[in-house]
Parts: sequence; structure tokens; C-alpha cells
Amino acid sequence: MLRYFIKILFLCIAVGSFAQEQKLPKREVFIRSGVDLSRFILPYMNDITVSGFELSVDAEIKYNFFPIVEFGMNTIEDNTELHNYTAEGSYWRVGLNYNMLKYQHRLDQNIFFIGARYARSLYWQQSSNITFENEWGVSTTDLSKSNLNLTWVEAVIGIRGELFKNIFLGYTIRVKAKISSSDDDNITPYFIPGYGSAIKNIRTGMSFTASYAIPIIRIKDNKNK
Amino acid sequence: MLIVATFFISCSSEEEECPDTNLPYLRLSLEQKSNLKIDTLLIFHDNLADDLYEGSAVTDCVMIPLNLNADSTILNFKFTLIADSLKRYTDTILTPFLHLFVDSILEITDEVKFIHSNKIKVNDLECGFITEFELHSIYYTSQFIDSIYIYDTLINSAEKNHVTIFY
Repeated sequence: MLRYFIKILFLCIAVGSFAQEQKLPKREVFIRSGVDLSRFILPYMNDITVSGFELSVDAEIKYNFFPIVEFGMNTIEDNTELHNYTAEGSYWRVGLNYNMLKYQHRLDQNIFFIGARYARSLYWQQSSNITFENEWGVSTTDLSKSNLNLTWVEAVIGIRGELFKNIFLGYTIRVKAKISSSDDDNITPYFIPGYGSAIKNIRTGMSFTASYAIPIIRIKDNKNK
Repeated sequence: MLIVATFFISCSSEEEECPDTNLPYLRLSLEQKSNLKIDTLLIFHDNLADDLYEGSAVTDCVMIPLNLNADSTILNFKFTLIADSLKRYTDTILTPFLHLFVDSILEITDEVKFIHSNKIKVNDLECGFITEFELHSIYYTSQFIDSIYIYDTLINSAEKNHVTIFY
């Protein structure tokens, strides 16, 4: 009796697998390139001018896994009667996103992902015409340019939804943690490119991305479930 | 869980508060050791437009501005005694100062030189640049000043006493 039950069980599995394979939809492999739209509103969010851009490229090289590369630049300027401050730099992030949506949703090419990033920023800052005044008179000082760097890791969560064919909108929420940094004895950087305020060792951030998926090839999904 | 952690961190993260002042003063107090009664104390320098302090010689709060364009700050401390206040004291005590008596007022001036360095820094650009002073030493004449004690060499706030002059 047990032998017959096992044979029936294996038969059901084989039939089910065959049936599932018959239902596999065709899917595209694509490279998706995006731009962070939130960078365009940065100059209007702070009294101190922070401008820049961020680009990203990701692709699904293995089912549900999306390696990603992000690159950006920022410029910070603050000019007042008491000081002039300038900082500029670039950053990059490499990481991996994992799509948590079930296979039956893959047809939409929408993803809801979690992931991680490794990031590094190279930047410089400089300040001049720093002015103080007291009973003894006025003092004006310049601080020399200093080249700095910061390395950090991120945990991310986000979505990419297909608004129109191959055009996606989405956001990414980031939790960032410093690993190592070079320090300026005089000036704590106001805004580290890619990271944000230098005061905090752990900080959060968010980006809002518009991207376009460039179709490469169509494949048949061979994941067995 | 990550979204919840994100909002939690955002709400609970510490914000850097701006310092009370971007250019701190040296806070100085004076204490009397002798039995002589001082009527007034005047703190001044010829290069300053206004006197820094004129009032009681027993005080725990005199704000001294330090010279940003030099590595030292020199000030004059003029102690004024009214002659009537000195009646109960013997001539032995007053003998060195007899030549200073003018219209029954005794004025004794000491010079105090603060040796310091300053450092410009900024922790939060929205608060602006701040200056911190490091007090290295104090030199003084001893016509009326007995001693000077340094409590704190880092001058970045006027909330605490940095120096006490005993006379």
C-alpha cells in the first residue's frame, strides 16, 4: 500500500512540474538605467545650497537578483557676510537588490526589493573670509582646502513600478552606517556627497527614481517550483 | 521592519544644537584675600574704545574678550580705594603706596597678560563658524594682585568660570 502511495505521489509531482513548465511566460532581460529625481529639489530644501545628480544602472542577471551600480556628484555652497564655504565631491555605490515579489507577479516587471550597498565618497571642502568681531576689532581668516573621504554601507528597501512600457518610477529608503572616514580638524562637513549630514554615524535617506528599462533578450524562466 | 526602523531613527536621532555664542568670552572672577576694602575695580586697555568692566571688585562674572588678531591679550586692572576706608590700617601697610595718594583716593594698577591660541571650527554649518580659545598661561604684575588660578584652559563657553584673580 505504501509503495503504491509513493508511486502516486511521484506521478503527481511529475504531472505538476510538467504542467507548470507549460505555463512559464516569456520574460525579458533588461538593463534599467535611472536618475534620482530628488536631487533636483535639493537646492530648495535647505538654506545652504546643495545641488547634484545621481544615476543608477541595474539588471537582472539571475532570477530575483539585481546587481546595481549608483554614481553621483554634489556641490555645496554657503556664502554669507561672515563666511564663504564650498564643498564638492563624487560618490559611488555597488550592491545587490533582491526582488521579494512572487513569480506570478513577474510578468509586470515590477519589483519590491530589499538590498545592500557598499559606498564610498571622495570630496573636498574649503572656507574663506571667515569673519569674527569683538571689542578688539575684526578678524578675517581663510582655511585651506582639505581632501576627504568616507566609506559606508547601506541597507535598502524600495520599489520600481512600471508606469508606462519600460518606464519605471520608484523610491528607495536607505539606512546608512559609516565604516571609516578621514576627518578635517577644523570643519565638520555639512553634507557628504551620497551620505548626507556628517554629524550622524547612522542616518537615513530616500531617493525617488525614474528609470528606463532597455530590453536585451527574451528568455524562458526555468525556475522550478 | 526596515521602514519602521527608518522612521524610528529619523525621529530619535540627535540634532546638533548651536552653541550659545560663536565667539566666547573668558569668564573671570575676583576674590579678596586681604583686609583692604576695594571700592571699585576698573578693567581697561588703551586700545579699547570702552572699559571692559567697572564695578565691585568682588564678583564672579567678568566677561573678558580675547584678542583674535594676537596670541596674547593684555589688560589693566585698576583697584581704587577711598582714603576713609583705610583709617583702620597702619602706616606700615600703606607706606609703599603713599606716593599714590591723590585727593584721598588710592589707585593701584596691575597688568595681566593672557597667553592664548585660538582655533576656528564648525560643527554645523547652519550654526556658523565658531572660535575656541586655549589658554596657555597668565603673567601679571603683583602690586595688588596676589595670585591667579586657572580652572579651565579651554574657552568655548561663558557658562563656567575659567580664571579667578585673588587680591
